[in-house]
Amino acid sequence: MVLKVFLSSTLRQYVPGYNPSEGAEFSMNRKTTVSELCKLMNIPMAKIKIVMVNGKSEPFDYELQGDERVGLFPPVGGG
Amino acid sequence: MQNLLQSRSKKIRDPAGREVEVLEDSQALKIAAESGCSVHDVYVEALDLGIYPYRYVRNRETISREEQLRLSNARVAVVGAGGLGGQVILLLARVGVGRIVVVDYDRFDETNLNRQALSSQRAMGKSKAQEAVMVVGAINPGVIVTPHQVRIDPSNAKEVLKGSDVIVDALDNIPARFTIENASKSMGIPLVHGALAGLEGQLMTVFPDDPGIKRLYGNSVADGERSKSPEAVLGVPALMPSFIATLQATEVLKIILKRGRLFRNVMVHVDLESGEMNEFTFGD
Repeated sequence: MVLKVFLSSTLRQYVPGYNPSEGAEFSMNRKTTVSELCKLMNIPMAKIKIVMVNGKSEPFDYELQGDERVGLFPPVGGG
Repeated sequence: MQNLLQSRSKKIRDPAGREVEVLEDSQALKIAAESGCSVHDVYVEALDLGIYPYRYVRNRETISREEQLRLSNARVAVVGAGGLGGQVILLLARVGVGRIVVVDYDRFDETNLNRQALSSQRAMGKSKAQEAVMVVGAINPGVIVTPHQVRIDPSNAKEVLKGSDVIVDALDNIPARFTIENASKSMGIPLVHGALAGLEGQLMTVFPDDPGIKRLYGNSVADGERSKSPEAVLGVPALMPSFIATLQATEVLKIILKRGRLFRNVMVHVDLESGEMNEFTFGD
């Protein structure tokens, strides 16, 4: 099963060649938590403020089944 | 004033062929001067009598006369008159919100010109709040702008924001956003939050009992290292502020007019580059 990971703004720099329209694909062969996913993708968790799984906010210990759309967001404060 | 308004208004046909009683600004300004009142008061009185200030004819029927009157009687506080706030102020002024309170301690500099709608070469070095008075005055004399050239903080927030029907969070830093959210909650006033970086932006409308922006920023009001923030790293071209400002101004209208669906308890996220606008929800 293939997970789709969408990265917001400055988080994109951690995944070389990231395409904002496509997101990043990530294949899992077992259940994985969001924090494990972040480690595997080399995205520092300290930079992430919001985790969205299939459009809903979830904690870092949320267990992914493998077919979700995951959105990761840093805190954005500009005006 | 009633007699003056009725004798100086005229009947026209709007682009849809409907007859409308209108009052042109040349007459509104004269009536204000003769009656010793503001153009704002003339507009309110006219709308109350069924006469459209001519400038609002093209707001019909999307905004009814009763709604135009309600907007004229409304007071909206916009905190931050930069990228987001400048656009929000211009939109609210054109749509006809009668009173706008503008809060910004800052002055315009050259780096504002890439995005801030109230900035211009002429306004370099001028107070953003004072410039809002000038710019809005030139667009719509029926809008009363109250400028506050202060940095908003917990000691002055309530005093500055009291009496508003809606507060717009158009700030550029996270601690100040919490300051005005706290004030809005304690005074029972709805808040429309907007923030952005690069070609991405977010919006959330917060009513006093809603969990609010801690959903977006966590419980810590600390700003972290601002030099590493997304908006510092990616900059802010004019496109995103203008888009989020339009959403914010529309939320303000919907709140005042009690219409439409509000973006409460959700994060609206816009990515202009991928052309996506998504709504994200939060669990309890």
